[in-house]
Order: sequence, then C-alpha cells, then structure tokens
Amino acid sequence: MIYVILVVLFAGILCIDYIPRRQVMTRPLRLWYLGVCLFCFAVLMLDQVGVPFPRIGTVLIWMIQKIFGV
Amino acid sequence: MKTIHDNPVSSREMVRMIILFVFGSSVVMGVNPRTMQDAWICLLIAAAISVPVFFIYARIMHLMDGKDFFTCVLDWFGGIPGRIVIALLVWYYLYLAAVVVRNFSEFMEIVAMPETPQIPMMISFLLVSAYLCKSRIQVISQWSIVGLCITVGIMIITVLSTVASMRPQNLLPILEHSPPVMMKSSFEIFAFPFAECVVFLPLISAAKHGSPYKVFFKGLFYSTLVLMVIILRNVLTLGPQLMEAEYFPSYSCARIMEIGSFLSRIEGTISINFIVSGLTKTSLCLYSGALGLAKLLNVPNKLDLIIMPIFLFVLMLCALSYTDAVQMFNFLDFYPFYALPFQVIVPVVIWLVGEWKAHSKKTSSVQTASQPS
Repeated sequence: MIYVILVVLFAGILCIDYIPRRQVMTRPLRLWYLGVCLFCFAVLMLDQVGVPFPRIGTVLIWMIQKIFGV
Repeated sequence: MKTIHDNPVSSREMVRMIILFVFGSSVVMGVNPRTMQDAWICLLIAAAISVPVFFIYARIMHLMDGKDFFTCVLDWFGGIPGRIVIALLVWYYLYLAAVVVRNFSEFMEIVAMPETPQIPMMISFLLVSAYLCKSRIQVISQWSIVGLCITVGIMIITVLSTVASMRPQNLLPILEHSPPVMMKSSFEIFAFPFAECVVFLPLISAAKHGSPYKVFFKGLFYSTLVLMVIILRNVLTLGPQLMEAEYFPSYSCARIMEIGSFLSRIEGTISINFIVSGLTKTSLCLYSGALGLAKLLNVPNKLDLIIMPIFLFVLMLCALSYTDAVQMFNFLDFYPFYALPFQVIVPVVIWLVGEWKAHSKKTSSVQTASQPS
C-alpha cells in the first residue's frame, strides 16, 4: 500500500506541479527539480523495501559523541 | 513577480507566529521534564539566556536595514562563504521541519493509530505545510491568528478542567536539583524551543512596521508565559515523578481531566493543539528553508517552483531521521550540541561580519564627505 501511495504522490507532483510549470523553468532548474524528486522518491522506495539506510539521528549522535565526548 | 517584501505582515502577526512556533512541539513533548518540579525555574533561566541571543537576532535584522536576509548574507560574506552560510542555515531549517513532522507521526502512532504506517501521516502533514508555504507568509500569518486562538483556548480549557486535580505540594521541594543539573536543563530548554527562533531570521524582514527588537522580545515574553502555564499545569496535575516518566506529559495530563461528571476523555484536544502549532512550525521552517534554497539556486522570486522538491526532500529526511520513538527521545539529549552551531555560532558570525561591514561603510562615507571638492 505504501508503494502505491508513494507512486501516486510522485506522479501527482509531476502531473500537477512540474508539467504545467515546465515552460517557465530554466533548464538547470528543471534538471534540479527532476533530480531532487527522483532521488528522494528512490530513497523512500528503497527504505520501504528494507534497504538499511543509516538514520540521520544515529549519525548525528555518533558525531556529537566523537566531537564533544558526551 | 512576488517577493517576500510584496506580502508584508504586521509585527503583531509576527509575534503570534513566534508564540505558535515556540509552542510547536513543546505542547506534546513537554518542556524538558528532567528537572521535574524545578522545570519552571529552568524555563526562566533559559528565557534569560535567550535574551542576548534574541538581541543578536534583532541586531542582525536592524543592520540589514529592511533588506532580505539571504541577500545581505551574500553581500556581507561574498560569493562562496555566503553560500556556505546559507546552505548551513537551509539544512538546519529543513531538518528541523523533518524532526517536527516525525514528532507528530510518532505521537500519532503511539497514542492513537498504532497499526497505521507513518508515511501517509507524514505526507498529509507535509502537504498542508507545503500548501501554506506556496501561499506565502501572509497566509501563514493569518493562519497563525486562528491557530493561536485555538491553541490558547484549548490550553485555558485544559488548565481550568484540571484545577480539581492539581496538588500545590507537587511543586515542593523547590531547588531540589543541583546547579549543574539545573543549568544543563536550562541549556536544553534554550536550544529547544527558544533558540529555534533562528528560523525567523529570514522572515522578520517581512514585518514592514515595528522594530525587530520588539518583535523578538515580545515573542520571547509571551512564549515563556505560555510554556510556564504548560509546565505548571503538568507538574501540579501529574506530579514530578509521573511527569518525568511520561513521553508525552501534556497528553497524559489531559487524559485525567474531567469537566463535571459528563465530559471526559478529552485528551484529543491536545492532539489538535499539536496539529495546529506543529503545522505552523513546519510551515515556517519549510518557508525559511525555501527562501534560502531559492537564493542558492538564484531563483529568489520563483519560490512556488521549488516547494514540491523541498517537500519530497523533507519527507525523505523525516523517514530517515530516526529508527524509532526511543531514538527520537534519546536524541533530545544530544540536540543542544547539534543545534548550537546553527542557533548561536552562525548568527554570531553573521552579526560580527554585519557590524564590520556597517562600520566600514560608515567610515568610507565619512571620508568621502570630508574630501575637498
């Protein structure tokens, strides 16, 4: 179910937000838009599949422990 | 083309936004219950620590002389250093938005919907925030008027309906904790929620009238007042031990209140508070982050073109932020160390560079005026 929700969300963003405004975007902005959306969508899908991404909280706690020694 | 300055808001609306912002997650997460019955003293110390920091924020706005925050940062620091400073602030704003949404989804999962996955809750919460951002600061400020009425109204109702359960002896003994523990707790309250007002640095220039000092200090005063009421309500009703033990003390407090003998189980009202103030906090973080990112991408007037990628990015951060609720609460101990560079060090550097630039500008203008024609 989550996969369907994510696919619908991604398709919705492209159809409702990206395609109607594509003409007013410069080429670098279009590339940035599509790049960010695709990257985030891929990460979210992989996270749902069960790929063990490191959690930001875990990384930050480890860094703070190393830097501040707490 | 619309810019932030085309949608001015009044300073009173800005103060309301600061109150709702500070109210944000604290309404459910509680205000650092570690010092139990002494938490109210720590709150006052944290407010006192916040005064010089808020003074620096206001001074930065004063030095900008009505110009856009990120434009000034680029002018003062120059190309690459300015972009690094903006990137740091953007990261802080967007990750803060993600953390607030994660707090909300964990709260909903724990207290109301244990079987529902968190992603749909995060999407719905973030979509509303993204819509508010697309509608710009004026709509967020108008939403904050409604939001403040709702949250303060609910807070007053919860206080009045728990009066019968309050035990004044729960506040005793006063100053039971050692000074280092009190200072640590005060520092944590300073970092979360007071100094999170660094989010307002790009927004204050939207308040066309009124001094930034007044906006920040009025916001600090009223938000301290609101948090004080929350702390006292929780301590007096739950008692210090239960307040420390609970993950969501305000929610637990609302669970035991009754209005007469006919209206009980009104803890859902606390969830309404969290949704209203959490939405405001997330929207403001997203909006500030979007302003910074628009500056980095050199499209400052096309904010609505970049909101949806930012929405997806924050959703990703939100999903990847913590493993579970336990880590989320553990991270609160480390949060001040993570947030301090963004809340204090970066603004202090901006302030010092701003003072230096303003001084050199004044000196050069005096020299030009004194030169014989």
